[in-house]
Amino acid sequence: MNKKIFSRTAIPKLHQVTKLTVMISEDAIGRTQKANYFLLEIAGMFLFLLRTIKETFSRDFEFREFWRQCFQIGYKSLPLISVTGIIMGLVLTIQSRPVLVDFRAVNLLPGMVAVSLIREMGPVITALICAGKVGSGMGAELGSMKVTEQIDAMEVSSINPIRFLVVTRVLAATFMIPLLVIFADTLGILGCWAGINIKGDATFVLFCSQAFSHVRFIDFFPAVIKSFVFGGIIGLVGCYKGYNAGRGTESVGIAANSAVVLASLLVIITDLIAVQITDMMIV
Amino acid sequence: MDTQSRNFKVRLGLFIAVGTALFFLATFIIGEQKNLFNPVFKLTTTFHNVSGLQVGNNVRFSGIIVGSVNNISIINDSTVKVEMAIKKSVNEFIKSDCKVTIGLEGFIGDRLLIIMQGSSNAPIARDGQQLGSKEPVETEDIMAGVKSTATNAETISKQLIEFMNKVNNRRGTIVRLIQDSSVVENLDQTVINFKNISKGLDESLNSGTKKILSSLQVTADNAENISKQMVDVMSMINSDNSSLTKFIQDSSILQNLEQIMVNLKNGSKGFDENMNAARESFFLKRYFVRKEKDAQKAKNDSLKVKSKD
Repeated sequence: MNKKIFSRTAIPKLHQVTKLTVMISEDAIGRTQKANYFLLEIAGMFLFLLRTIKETFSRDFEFREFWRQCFQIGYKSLPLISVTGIIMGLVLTIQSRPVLVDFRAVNLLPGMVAVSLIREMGPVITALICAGKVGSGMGAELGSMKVTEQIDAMEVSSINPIRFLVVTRVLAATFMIPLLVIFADTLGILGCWAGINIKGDATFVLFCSQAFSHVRFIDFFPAVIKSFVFGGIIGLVGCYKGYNAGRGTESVGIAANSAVVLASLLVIITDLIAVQITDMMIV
Repeated sequence: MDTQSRNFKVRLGLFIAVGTALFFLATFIIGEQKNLFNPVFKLTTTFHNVSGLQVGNNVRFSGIIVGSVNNISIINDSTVKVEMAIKKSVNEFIKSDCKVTIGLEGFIGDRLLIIMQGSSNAPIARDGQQLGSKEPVETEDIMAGVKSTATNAETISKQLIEFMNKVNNRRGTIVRLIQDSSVVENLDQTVINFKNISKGLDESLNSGTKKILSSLQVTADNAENISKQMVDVMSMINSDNSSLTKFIQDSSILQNLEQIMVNLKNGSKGFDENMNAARESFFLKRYFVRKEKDAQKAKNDSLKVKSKD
C-alpha cells in the first residue's frame, strides 16, 4: 500500500489536489476580504457621518467656507443644471406627445410632463448630474489635500478639518441641491411649453393652468424633501472618499471616481425608498 | 475666490433668492389650484357608488371648476358621503335644489363632481348643506350594453351574410321570388285586375244600392201610409160613437157570442146523430155502401200504381 501512495502517478495527482485546495482557499479569503472591506466601508461612513453631525452643532461654524461652497456647488452648477432641465422637459414632451395624440389626450401633456418632472425626473437627474460634478469635485479636492498632507497640517494648526472641510461641504450640498432641483423643474416646464409649441399652439397662461392643475402637494413636497437627502448623500460620500483617500497620487482619481459611483448608487436606492414612503402616504 | 467681494455676494444671494422664490411660487400656485388660499364654503352629498372619485378631484359648475373634493367617507354599506369645498364667490349661483353627479374629465381622465343647475327661485345653498345626488352611469354598465349590442350585431351580420349568399346563389323560395321578374309582372297584373274588380264592384254596388234604396223608399212610404191609417183606425176605435168601440166595450155581445158557440156545438152534435140515422135508413143505406166501395176501389188502384212505379 505504501508503494501505491508514493508511485510515479500518485505524486502528480496529489500535487493537483493541493493546488486546487490552495486556489479555493485564496478565493474564499479574497471574498471574505472584500466582504470585510464592504463592512468596513459601511462602518467607516457611518462613523464619518456621526462625526460630521457632531461637528455641525459645535461652536465656531465656518460660515465663510460654507458660503463659498454654496457658491461653488449652487451657482457654479446652475448653467449645467439649466441646460439639463430644459432638455429634459423638451425631450419628455416630444417623446410623450405621439402617444397622447393616439388617445386624443394632448391636453393632458402639460400636466403629465409637469408631474413627471416635479415628482421624479427633476430631483433624480439633477442629483445624478450633481453626483458627477460636485461629488467628484469634493472627492478629488479632499483626496489631493490628503495626499499633499494639507489635512494633517490643518490638524496640527488646530483647525478642525472635519468642521472646516466636511461640514461646510455637506451642508452646502444639502441646501443647494434642492434649489438646483427647483431650477431644473422650472426650466423643464418651460422646455415642455417650448416642445408643445413646436407641434401645436398653447399660450403660456393656458399651459401653466393645464400643467399645475394636475400637480398636488403630495407630488411637490416629497420631491423637495428627498432632494435634501440627495444633497446630503452627495456631500457626505464625496467628502468621505476624499478624506479617506490613500497616500498615492492615483488614489485621488480613485477617490473621485468611487465618490461618483457610490453617490449615484445611493441616490437611486434612496429614491426607491422615498417612492415607497410617498406611496404609503398617498394610500 | 474672495468671499467678501460684492460680486460674489450678489450672485450667491440672487441664486438663493430666486430659488426660494420659485419654491414659494410653486407652493402658491398648487395651493391656488386646490383653493387653499381662497375662502370656501362646504357642501355635502351622498352616493351609493362614487366610481373611483378621489379626494382632491375637481368640482365643476356650469363647466367651470369651482372647488374640489375635500373628504370621502363611507356612512354605511350603501351610502358614501362626499364633502366639497366650493369657492365662496360662486355661492350665490348654487341653489339648494342643485343635484350633484359624477363625471369624467375627458374619456380617460379623472373623475370629477358636476353640480347641475337648480331652479332659479330656489334658495341659495348654505354652508354645510347637503345637496341631492344623481347616481353616475358606470362604465362597466355601458360596456355591458355595448357588448350585448355588438353580439346582436354580429349575429345579425352573420345571418345577413348567409342571406346574401343565398341571394347571390339563387337559393330559397323568397330569393327566387325576389329575382324572378315574371313574378313581379304577375303581381302587377294581379294588382291591375284587383283594381278593375274593385271598380266594377263599386259600380254594381252603386247601382244595386240605388235599387235597394228606391225599394226601401217605397216600403217606407207604404209604412207611412199604413201607420197613418192605423192612426185613423185607432182614433176611430178610441172614439165613443164608433160601432167597433161599442163592440169591444159592450160585454153582452161577448156573452151572446159564447151562447152562439154553445148552440153551434149542440147543433153539430144533433146533426151527427141525424146523419148516422140517415145512413142506417132503407132509402139512403145503399147510397152510403156504394160510396164506400168506390172509395175503397180508388184506394186499391192508387196502391197498384205506386207498386208498379
